Amino acid sequence: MSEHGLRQRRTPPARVGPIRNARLGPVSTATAPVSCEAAEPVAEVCEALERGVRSAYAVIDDYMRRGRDAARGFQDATNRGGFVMEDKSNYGGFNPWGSMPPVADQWMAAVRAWANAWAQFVPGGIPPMWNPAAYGAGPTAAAMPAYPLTVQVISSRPTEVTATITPGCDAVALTVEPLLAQGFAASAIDGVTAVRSAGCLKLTVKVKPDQPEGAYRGTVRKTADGAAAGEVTVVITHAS
Amino acid sequence: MSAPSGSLVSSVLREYGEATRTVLFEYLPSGEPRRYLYDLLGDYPRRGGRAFRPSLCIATARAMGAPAELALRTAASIELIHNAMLIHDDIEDESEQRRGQPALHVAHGVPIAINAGDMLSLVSLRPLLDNRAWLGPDVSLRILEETERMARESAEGQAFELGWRRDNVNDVTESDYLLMVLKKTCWLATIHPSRMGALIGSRGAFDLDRCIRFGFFLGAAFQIQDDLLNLEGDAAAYGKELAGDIREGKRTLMLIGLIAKASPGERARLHAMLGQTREQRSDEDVAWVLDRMRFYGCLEYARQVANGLGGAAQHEFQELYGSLPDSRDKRFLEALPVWVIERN
Repeated sequence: MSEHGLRQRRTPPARVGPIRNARLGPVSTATAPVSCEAAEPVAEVCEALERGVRSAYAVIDDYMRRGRDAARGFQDATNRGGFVMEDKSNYGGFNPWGSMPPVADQWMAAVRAWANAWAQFVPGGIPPMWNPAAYGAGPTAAAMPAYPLTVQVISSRPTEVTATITPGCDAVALTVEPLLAQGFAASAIDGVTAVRSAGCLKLTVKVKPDQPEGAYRGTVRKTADGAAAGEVTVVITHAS
Repeated sequence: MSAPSGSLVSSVLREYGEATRTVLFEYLPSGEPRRYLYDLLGDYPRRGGRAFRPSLCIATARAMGAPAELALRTAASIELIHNAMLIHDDIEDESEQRRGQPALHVAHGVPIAINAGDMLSLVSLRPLLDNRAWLGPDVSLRILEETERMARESAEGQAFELGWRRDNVNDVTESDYLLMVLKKTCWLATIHPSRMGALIGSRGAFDLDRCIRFGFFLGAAFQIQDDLLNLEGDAAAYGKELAGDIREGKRTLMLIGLIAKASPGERARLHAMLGQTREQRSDEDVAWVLDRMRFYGCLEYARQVANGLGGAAQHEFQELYGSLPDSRDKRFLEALPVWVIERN
């Protein structure tokens, strides 16, 4: 409400829907652009245009809806028990028998992760180019499949190891810097290795018998360019 | 379309087309039997073509940050499948020309051409299998799954069209036509290349179903413009016989419009003509249908629908790719909706 007690109104927008006419720039052909937003549109042509686009939107909306319904229907059937693939809808499913049931989906995801991991060791496998640092910032790096991480600790005392590896960096060669004592004087823990082996990244930490108790921390770097790729923390405690 | 956009589309198509063809020809076998099989596989690809499909795949991948190299094998596979389907389409449609020369079955006979088309389809799988070395097994397997889906959708769309012609179905609606186009044309021409580019560019992170709308509107505008060019295009540039769609009895948007608007007498003549075989349809029949289409404004109507679909494709482009950083490839994708309706 304005100070004069009159409701202020915005000027009505010139357009409330998406632009339907693709001829937005200069037209080089003999056909002149037709705009339904003009003051006096050519009624017949505009009607045709609107009807055609409406039909197209209805078709694609229906196509997408059937795909979603098929997927939902299948999920309901699965939840009632059994994986009988009765839904053979061809609308929007990713295979001829509709969506995969969740368990099969997880199984396929596991198989793919396993296959991807093994591909690193097969001749002609994924080359170094296939890493997120090489291209594609943003969602691509976050979407990198996580590789399994195995930690081997060789120590005569209770030793806790925490490792964080930046997503995607487990697919490239890594080097672990010596782990420095945190807040006390002691020699560093060196010889920590991060090696890809048998489909997973294997971290090996060897603690000398006379290594002082306490926390040690070191940076993991990409071997190729030295960029930080994670961190390893080792906490040695007294044997009870 | 402004000149810079037009030249951008042309230069990208030329650049990515050459890169795709280089890879494509590496996959064509050269052993025996050459005369009856392998020499024929490269026939259609050697005749040229715009390389629209592979370029769309490569540009989408690059717009999302992937190097072109990662998309080349998939792009080559798409072009191989496209050419394989063209061989079979030409037989099914009884087309006489392809890219300005006799169709493969006209030059070599139907049995030989069918077999060559089958082999070309099989050859298209090899680059997808080789993808593993570049993309890893996960993305490579997904591309194979997507390719299977695309082939299925395309075959279903083709089945609609062939069935309508065989049974002389004359109550096909505009929605029926658009669904047929979605499956027959859009999946191979626009949806699949977009999805593959997005899959490669995002390393599998992108929701591929988001590509369907953009691909549908772009592909439908492409198909309607193609149907218009068939009726009134430049014969030399078009590369196929003009008005061939009328002779083949194809249910195009113009024919559907004519059936709806024609007088009862005209409709009866049209129905009788469409019930004939291709050979039985005379030049006079074809000329009469074209004349009636012009009389009832069916061509102009289709042109306006293509314009509208192009506009819808522009809208969907913004929804889909609007947030991507500016790049030559993004500008190429953005220019496609106008290009498809203004090409000749």
